[in-house]
Amino acid sequence: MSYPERSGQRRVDLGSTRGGGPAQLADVLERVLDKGIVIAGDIRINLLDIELLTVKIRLLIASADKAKEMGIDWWQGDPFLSGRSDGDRALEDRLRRLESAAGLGDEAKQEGSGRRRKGA
Amino acid sequence: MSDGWYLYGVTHAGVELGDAYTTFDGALPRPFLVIDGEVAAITGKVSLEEFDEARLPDLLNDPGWLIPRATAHQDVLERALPGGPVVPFRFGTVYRDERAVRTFLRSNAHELTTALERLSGRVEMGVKVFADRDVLTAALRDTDAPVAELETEIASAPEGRAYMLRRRADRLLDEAVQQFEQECAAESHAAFSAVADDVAVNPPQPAELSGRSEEMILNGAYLLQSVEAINDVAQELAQRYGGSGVTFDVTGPWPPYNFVPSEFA
Repeated sequence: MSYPERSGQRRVDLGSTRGGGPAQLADVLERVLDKGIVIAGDIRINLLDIELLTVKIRLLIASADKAKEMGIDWWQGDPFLSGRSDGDRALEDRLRRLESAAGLGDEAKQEGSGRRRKGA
Repeated sequence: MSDGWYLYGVTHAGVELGDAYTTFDGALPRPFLVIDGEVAAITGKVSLEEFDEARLPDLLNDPGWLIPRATAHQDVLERALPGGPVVPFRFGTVYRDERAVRTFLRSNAHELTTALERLSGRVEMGVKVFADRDVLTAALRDTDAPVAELETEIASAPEGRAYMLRRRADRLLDEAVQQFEQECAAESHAAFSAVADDVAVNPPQPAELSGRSEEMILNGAYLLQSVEAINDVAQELAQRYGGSGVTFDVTGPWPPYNFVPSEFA
């Protein structure tokens, strides 16, 4: 087994659009904030507090039309986005206002789940 | 102000990390191991003033705070990979003291050991498949039979009818493009899955996140023993689909974020 060199994984910033920086950052955030083991530590750090994951919301608004067209509906199965608590509902309301301001209407309501998994 | 114990992940007690952590410099604290029995927690001491429940909601929404720390979390786990299997934790797991870390290790020793065994000798690789709609559309305009038929008809039709036929041809072409993308994604996923021990399909990232102008048609993660195997498959597929504007972006090895149970006792 080999571990090829990986570059650009560190010290990437959101503003950059060159050299795969944002792409790597997206991959990192997707994993670090959404995957991995969750346990109840002593400090309750609630990732639900991330305003729809900061990055996701921007993207959701920017791409709701395109995503709908492609049948992508992952936010429905996403606890960050599907409104399971009062906090979530507040976020959902905010999302609706933002979407409305962006002229996107009620795009976030899609059916089904975007997540699939094989094996254990 | 007292310190908290930030938990990056868990690895085998006997892991050799060399200077992987002595050279670490990031927005989260330098990691060290807390060993209990056969397992070791990769931890770092954070300020409880910073990781304060009242402040965290604001900090989490500040990309200037969150992004360097999320990146550091990844960096720590990535540095541990060459030493052996690692069970990654999600960002932001903090205990108040070392005893709590040890209690966690002890009460979950069996589950952690099982997870480490399953991950031993395996790596997570990511594959993102992109389709260039312009190239794909051009390719299908020439090769898709129903569209080609319509084109012939359009060439000899009067102006009004040609307009209607053109609209139908465009719609057919859009459908052909989408069908091609779906089939290409499914076939690619099947080919990668064939060399993998476990797979996870994640939502395609929109262009703003992927940083690419092409459509992402597959965002897969694969747990496998050989990095070469997945690169070989990617190369084969790239050859097969290259003329249709489809490209394959392989990343990793990653800590196996996609292949640990997300909830733990």
